[in-house]
Amino acid sequence: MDLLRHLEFFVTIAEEEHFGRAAGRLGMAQPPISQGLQRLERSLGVVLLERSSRGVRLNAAGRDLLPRARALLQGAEDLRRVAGTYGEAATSLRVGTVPQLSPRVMAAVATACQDRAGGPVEMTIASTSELVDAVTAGQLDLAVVVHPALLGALRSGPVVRLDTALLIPADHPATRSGEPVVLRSLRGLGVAAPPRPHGTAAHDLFLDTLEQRGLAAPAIPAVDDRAALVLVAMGRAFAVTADPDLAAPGVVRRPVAGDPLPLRLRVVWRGADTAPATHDAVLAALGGGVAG
Amino acid sequence: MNERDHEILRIFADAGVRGWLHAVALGGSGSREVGLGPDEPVVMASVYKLPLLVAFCRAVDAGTIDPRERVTIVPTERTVGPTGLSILRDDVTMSWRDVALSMVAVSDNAAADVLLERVGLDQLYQAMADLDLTRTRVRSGTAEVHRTLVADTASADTAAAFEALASHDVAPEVRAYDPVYGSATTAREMTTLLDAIWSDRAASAEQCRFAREVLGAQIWPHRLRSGFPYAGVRVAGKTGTLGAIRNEVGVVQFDGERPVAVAVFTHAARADAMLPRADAAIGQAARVAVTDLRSGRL
Repeated sequence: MDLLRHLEFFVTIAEEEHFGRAAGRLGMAQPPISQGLQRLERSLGVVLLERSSRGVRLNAAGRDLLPRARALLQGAEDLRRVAGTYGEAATSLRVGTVPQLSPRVMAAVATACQDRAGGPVEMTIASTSELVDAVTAGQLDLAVVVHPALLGALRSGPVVRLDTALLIPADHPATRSGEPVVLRSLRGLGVAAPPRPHGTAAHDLFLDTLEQRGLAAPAIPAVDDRAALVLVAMGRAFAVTADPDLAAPGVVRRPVAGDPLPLRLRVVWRGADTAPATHDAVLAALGGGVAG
Repeated sequence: MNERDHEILRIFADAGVRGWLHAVALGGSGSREVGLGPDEPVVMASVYKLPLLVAFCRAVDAGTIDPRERVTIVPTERTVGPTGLSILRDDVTMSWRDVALSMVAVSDNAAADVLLERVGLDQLYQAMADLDLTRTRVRSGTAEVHRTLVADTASADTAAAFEALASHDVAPEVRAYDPVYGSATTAREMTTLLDAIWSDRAASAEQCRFAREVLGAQIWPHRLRSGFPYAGVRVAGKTGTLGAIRNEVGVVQFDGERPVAVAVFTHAARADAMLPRADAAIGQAARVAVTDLRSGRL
């Protein structure tokens, strides 16, 4: 159990006297917070809060332990701050993103992190599976990965949807009308997609979605948007991109007809390594829509 | 971790699932075993019907339930589900042992909740405690799990909750996915329970035979069975499915060999209601484990 993280839940719930409001302040869903509190209570062997239909209130044990919990959290913050003064490397925020982000969104994420962290930010571009491994191993503080992916024990924010467009070889008949393109009309082309090991679940979901809509396109591996653009320019494949600026001669951009094919992203991090405010800043920088 | 374990992890990763597995050959001393996270808590889903079956068998032994007594189950009181009594239109009158049979053979949610009410959660706890399965905790039946899903996804009803659970655009954090909150066990405790059923220790010899027959009557071919499609092998088991959770625990018996108990629990990255790759990965992982345990046979 991450004691500090769970103490943070306890303090927030105690201050808000309400699980829902505490969840809102922590930027999390309610169930993991109430579970976290239960875990804390079990671990300490004492009930801290009285639950009622109107909310939650500290009981005698909770009132006694609240200042101590606050002192521990403050101590941890002091420790991090002082540790951070010992060298640049310790204060730099290490952020990873998948290559599917456009350069301008990537820049927005980097500057947002810099504003929040108040120090240097190191950006890494890698596949979802590599980023998940790196965050899990503590080599990165947070990462923007493609959803769905196996996240193991990592924490994650909501699913963000970025709008996408189709990139199609200019001489393909489907581009003639200038109308949104029905996926089925792209039969005969391959589809440029990141190699399957970069993110197995998202890769399979993407191809299954095309099949569901009547297009059994063979996937041609493209590690990033540039590689995809090259495949499209050569007339070998169509591509789906979230980069509004991606263009080349011989490549036509069209919206997809019917349901969109959003790029789904999630911010992931480990335990209490980074502040919730940083996650929120990254979410905002991604600029997409969050459903439900 | 050896090459066999890495192979099983590759199977799970390739299917886009996190997986837990325990397998052990039954009926011998000093059995070898295969384990990947065998002692980590996992969500049971309908695998809870296996402990319930055992608790039922013990209640029959104790004389508190007459297995032939007939019970009438009316549609309005039935738990939602895709099979069995859950989908029938009219009143059904059947014996308790046939309720148990339907619960396991087709993972009948309605039958399970009726049987759980008759057996009682207390008796179920007691049965697990008697068998020294201290990490297996059945907290509620299926209807109660559905209620938490509806609440956690802020849905109007069970159908809408499962729709929200299958969405790629929201990733609701639901208590039903958390072994801390819901009914939970470990892969090893389920193979231990199967061992007790196969060695007539879970209940009387007569009731253990009934349990083995019932588990052998399970119809699903897409998980454990898909790993052992050959003639000359019997697979008895119990599946569990809830959104991204796909499980099966069972016993694989090749003719003339020692039976092997295997428990596989998975949690998929994808939210889709249907994921044939994840189902098949359960069979593939079980095959790798069971094949290794067969090599030291007889």
